[in-house]
Amino acid sequence: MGSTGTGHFSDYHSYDSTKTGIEGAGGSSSDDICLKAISTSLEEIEKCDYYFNHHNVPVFNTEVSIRFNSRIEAYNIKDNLTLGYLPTKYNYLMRCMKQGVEYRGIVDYSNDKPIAIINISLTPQHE
Amino acid sequence: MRLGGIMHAVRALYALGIDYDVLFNAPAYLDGSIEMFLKKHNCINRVKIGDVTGAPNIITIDEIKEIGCQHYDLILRDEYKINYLNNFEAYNFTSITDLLLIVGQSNFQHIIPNINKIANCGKKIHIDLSNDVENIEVFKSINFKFDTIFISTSSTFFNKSFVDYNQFVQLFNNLTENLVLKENRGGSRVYDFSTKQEIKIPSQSHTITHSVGVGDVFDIASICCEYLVELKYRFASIVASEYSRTTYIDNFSRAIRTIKNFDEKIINAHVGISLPWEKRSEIHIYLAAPDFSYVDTQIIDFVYNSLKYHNFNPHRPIKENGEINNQSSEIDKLTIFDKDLDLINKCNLLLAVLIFNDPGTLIEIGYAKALNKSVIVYDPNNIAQNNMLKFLPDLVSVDFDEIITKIFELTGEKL
Repeated sequence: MGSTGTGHFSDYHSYDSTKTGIEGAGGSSSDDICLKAISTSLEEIEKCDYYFNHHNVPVFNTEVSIRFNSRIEAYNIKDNLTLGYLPTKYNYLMRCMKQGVEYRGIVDYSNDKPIAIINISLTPQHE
Repeated sequence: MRLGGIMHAVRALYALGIDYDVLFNAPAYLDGSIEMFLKKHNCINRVKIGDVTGAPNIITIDEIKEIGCQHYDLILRDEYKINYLNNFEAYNFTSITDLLLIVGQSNFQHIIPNINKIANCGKKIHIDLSNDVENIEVFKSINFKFDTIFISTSSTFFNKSFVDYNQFVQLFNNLTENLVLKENRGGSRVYDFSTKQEIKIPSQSHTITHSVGVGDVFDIASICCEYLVELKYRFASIVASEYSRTTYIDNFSRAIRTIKNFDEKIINAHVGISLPWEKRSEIHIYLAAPDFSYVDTQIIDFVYNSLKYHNFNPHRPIKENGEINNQSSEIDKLTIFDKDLDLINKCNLLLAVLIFNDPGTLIEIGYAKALNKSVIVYDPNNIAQNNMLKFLPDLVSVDFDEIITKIFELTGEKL
C-alpha cells in the first residue's frame, strides 16, 4: 500500500509542483477565475438605458461587453447602451478588469414577456 | 494538509505586503516546517514562545466550506500542554504598530501581565476570540481595553452566551473599543463603543473553495489597511472573499496586489449580503422532500442540520404535520394536506430535496412558485431533467454550497 500526496507542506510561495508531478500541490495554479467564460442573466433590465430607449430587450446574438460604472454593467457594443447589471457573485470581475482583462460576448437569450429577461455569454479577452 | 492557525494571517500579511513578525506556540517536530514557511512568506522575526507537547497540533476538519458544522477536532486536545518559553517577555514590542493575538489553546496567562506594558508603548492590541474561548473573565480582570475584539458566530463563547445582539455586545463593554462579530455568509457587524454605533459589513456572496482561515484573513486585512472605519471592513471582506476562492498562495497574492489599490468607489461597489444571526431564525424554510419513515433520509437530515447550523428555521412537514399511509382515513389525509399547504404559505422560502421524483415534492415546488415564493431545488443525484422542473425554480443545483449561498442571497439584505 503506497502513500499519496507530497508528504510535506507544499502550499507556500514559489513551491514548484512540477518537481513532484503531484497535481494540486504547490504555491500556484494556472487556474485563473478571470480567464473563465461567463454565462449569466442580467438584473434591473427595465431600469436601464437600452430598455428605456427601445422599450424592448435586445435580440439574440447582439454583441455585448461589460464595464464598471458604480456596478458591473453589460452594454451593447453597437450603441453603448446599458442592458442590465451582473449579479453580485461576479464582483470579482472588478479585479479582473483592473488587471486588464476585457470581456466580450453575445446575448444568447432574451424575452420581454412576462418580465424582461436577458442572458449573456462572455469570454475573456486578455491583453 | 496545510499549515493553519496563525498561518492564515501570515498568508494575508504576505499578500498585502505588510512587514510582520510572528510569535507562536508549536510542537518541536514542526519547528523546521514553520521556519521554512515563514521565511518563504517574508516574516521578519520568527519567535517561538511556547513548546507544545502531548498532542501533534493537528486539527481535522469534516467539511471545509462551512456548508454546515465543520466539526473541527483538535487531535488529543485533552493532552495538549504548552511549556512557555521566556521569549515573549524578551520580544521587542517597540518596533511594531499593532499586535494581533489569535487565541488557540493558549490561555494567555503568560501574556496578560505584559499587555499593559505593550499598550503603554502606544501599540494597538487586537484579539480574536473565535476559537476555543469559553469565557472572557480573564480579560475582565486585567483592566485593559483592546482596540478590537474579533469573534465569530461559530465560536464556543458566542454559542454559549448569545441571547440577542445588544446583550451580547454589552458583555464586552469596557473590554474593547470595537467589537467585530463575524457572521460567516451573513457578513459582519462592527460595534464602536465610543460612538455606540453599529455598522453592518456585507459578505461577498459566491461559492467558495474553502472557508478555513477566512476569519483570520479578515482580521489582518482590517487592521493593516489605511482606509477609515466602514471602508476598511468592506475592504477586509473583499480580501477574505479572495482567500476563500483558492488554496494557492501565489494566486491569492496576485489578486490582492490589485485589490489593495482599489479606491473607495470600487470597494463600495462590491455589494454583498448582510443577514444578522438573530434575523435568520425568523426565516422559515419549507423542506419539500420524501421525508418518509421508509426512505433513507440522510440527505434530508444533512440539509436540515446545515440550515439549523446557520440559524435558519427549517420545517420538515412530514415530521411536523404527520405522515399518511394506506391506513390513514380521508379526514386525516385532508387534515395533513391543509396543514402542509398552510405551512408552505407561512414559510419564506421552499427548499426541495430531490432524492427521487416524489410527486408530492414536485407539486409543492409548483405550488410555492405560483405563490411567488422563492424556490430552490437541491438535486444531489442530478435527476432534474424535466423542463418545468429545471426552469421554474430560482435555482436547481447539485452543489449544496451553491444552495446555501443562494439562500443567503434571497433572504439577506444587499449592502
